[in-house]
Amino acid sequence: MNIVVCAKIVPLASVTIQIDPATTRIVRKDVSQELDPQAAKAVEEALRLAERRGGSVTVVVMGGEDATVGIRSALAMGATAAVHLSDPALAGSDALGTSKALAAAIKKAPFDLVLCATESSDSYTGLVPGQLAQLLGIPPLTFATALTVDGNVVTIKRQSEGGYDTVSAELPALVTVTTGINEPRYPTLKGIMGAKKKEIRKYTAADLGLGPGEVGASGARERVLTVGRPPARPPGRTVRDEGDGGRQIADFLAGLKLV
Amino acid sequence: MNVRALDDHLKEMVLALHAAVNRAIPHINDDPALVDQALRDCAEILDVVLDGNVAEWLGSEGPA
Repeated sequence: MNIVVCAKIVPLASVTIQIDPATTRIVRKDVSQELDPQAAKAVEEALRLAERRGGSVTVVVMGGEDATVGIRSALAMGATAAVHLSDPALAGSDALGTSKALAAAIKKAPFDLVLCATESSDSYTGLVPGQLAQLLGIPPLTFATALTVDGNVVTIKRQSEGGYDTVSAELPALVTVTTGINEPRYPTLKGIMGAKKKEIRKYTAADLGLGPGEVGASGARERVLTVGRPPARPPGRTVRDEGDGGRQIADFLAGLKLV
Repeated sequence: MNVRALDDHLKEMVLALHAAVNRAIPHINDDPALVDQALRDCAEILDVVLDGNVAEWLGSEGPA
């Protein structure tokens, strides 16, 4: 079974993300980065499937040269190989451009299952998996909290307001995993050293047959018009309990039609 | 010396330590075996860092 995981390398969780006001893009240069914790869950799920059923796990990442450390983390967890889409021509791609590049890279080798995080931890658009499934011509099974493969059928549990929806599709398919699906393993020393021998294939936009009208800033149809901080929250109301605190709170909530 | 490779290697080590600690902390009270294993894995990485054998860390990209 050939499993592909689309992963993103994001600023470390401890880093306060900065936006370049000129480009409205996240500042990534000289910022320590890691494998997106959400993507790590997709890697973990892929590794568990491969351990049960055999097969390979290939991690596909689009990002600059700084992405290498995060890619190696996925390899150190146990992924078989990695594909790194790294090219200045890809910089500034919108979600659709990213999906086109990922789809072109995935199509270069046979695959059965594509796993993605539901959304990335830095930009949170959540657009790529659906677009990717469309471009690959495969069904997307989204928001998986559990995942099984039986024969040629993948089945997920999707949490809903009333419980779980069970959704199945024939392979090949794409599945997006949610935060609660697993607790990812961490790279061990053996994994880190072993990862150095694993292959990271590199592709440029030209290798993928993509031109400036399709990817990169020039191909982007999505525009971020402004980026700003949310308005300051108004101060809260303090209730002093002088015997009627409970009533004051009840009246306050009733005024908001909450009780 | 290939400073970039050394820098990347040390980042990988620190990220692995960070991931091991993050994996273990939620289970301090309910899964001591998992916590013990994470501690052993952290100790193994730290021992190698303290040994300071950079050529071995970087393989063929060792000191030039």
